[in-house]
Amino acid sequence: MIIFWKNRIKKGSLHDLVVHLIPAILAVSLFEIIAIEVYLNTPLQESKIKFFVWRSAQAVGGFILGYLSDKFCRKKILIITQVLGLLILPLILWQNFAVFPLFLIGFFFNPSPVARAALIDNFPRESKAKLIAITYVAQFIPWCFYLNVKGFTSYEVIIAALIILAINVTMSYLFFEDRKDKKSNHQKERSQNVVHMKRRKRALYTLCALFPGQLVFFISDTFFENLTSNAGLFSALGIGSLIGVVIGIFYRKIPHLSLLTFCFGIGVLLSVVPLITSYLVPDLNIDLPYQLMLFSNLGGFYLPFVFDVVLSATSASYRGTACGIIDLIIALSSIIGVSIVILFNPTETQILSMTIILFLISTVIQKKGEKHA
Amino acid sequence: MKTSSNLAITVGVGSTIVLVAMMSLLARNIKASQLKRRNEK
Repeated sequence: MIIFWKNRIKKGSLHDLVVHLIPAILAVSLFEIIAIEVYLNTPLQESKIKFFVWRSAQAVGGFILGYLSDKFCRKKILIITQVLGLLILPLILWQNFAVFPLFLIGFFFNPSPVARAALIDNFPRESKAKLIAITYVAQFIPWCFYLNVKGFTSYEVIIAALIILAINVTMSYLFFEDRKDKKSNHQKERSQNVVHMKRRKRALYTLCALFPGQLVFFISDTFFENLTSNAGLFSALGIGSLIGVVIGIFYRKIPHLSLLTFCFGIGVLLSVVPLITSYLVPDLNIDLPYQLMLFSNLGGFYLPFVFDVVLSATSASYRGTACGIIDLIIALSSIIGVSIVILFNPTETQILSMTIILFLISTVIQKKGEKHA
Repeated sequence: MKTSSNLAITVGVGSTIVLVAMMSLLARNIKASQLKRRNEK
């Protein structure tokens, strides 16, 4: 096995890894480690406003940084967002995760859309779904170590993140390249349409279907947090998403748009069965945490394909914006999902009914999008 | 409710191996695709 891999990896690979992949991937993982620390230090029951400020700033910041990376230079934006992270992180520690530094870090340190767009620029012959899946694997891996991160103080985690971030900034500055930045005919390319007209509708339907689909995920997240017995369950949700996305990594591209319809349809089935069972056999308790972890698995699996559809419909000059829009939709669904649970405090049966309705909406919208495939 | 930290770490380490392997393969393929592009030009 080792010899097999040795033969597969040629001598020049290490250079290519550093030049094209590691700075972007590491930035995504670091972003998520900081997200874990924010999550641990701003429990929802104590500080709802902090959560909303952090997520709203992320939603807008990701979109703006993605757009700026299209308009100017991906390498520069990747470096700037990391440098701003370096400056704001000590402020977070000093102000003990106060609202203002949380807003700043959410808004300015948001490398994910830029990193995703850069990866697709650098590997034009690779499938977009696979590349996006790789970034999501890097994003979800830190959640596997959530229980371990919990064991360290905020000071220790932030200092470690600062050190790695400083190394990554240097590495990005010295070595990182983006193919788009190097193109001399960049100006000419900008005159292209933002989206390819033929694929516009299916991308639009896919984005519309993504919103209710992600809403399910965040409603379940918040429901977990409200459980008194949740001791570290969040890491299990992260693992669920990770397993889903690892399976997705082996697909070259989306086989057909109907795969997304199937995924949302499976979501409906996974919600309908326990709901019916709970009425048929009233004595049987629904194991909702178990049920909702299956959704996280499903969510992880279909997410790279959503990117594949949207990015295939977007002009090469607007990939950063497209990734930013998807992140914006995901962040918005998290804000609305959390608001629903906080405002209505739903029961388990109501949660399942909501997931049925939301997945059903996603399935219908995605099915309509198939007509334009 | 308790969750297993060991299982989480195992999945995390396994996924890291998959990630590194995928990245190495991509890095290996980029040279070939660069050469192809040059030839096409």
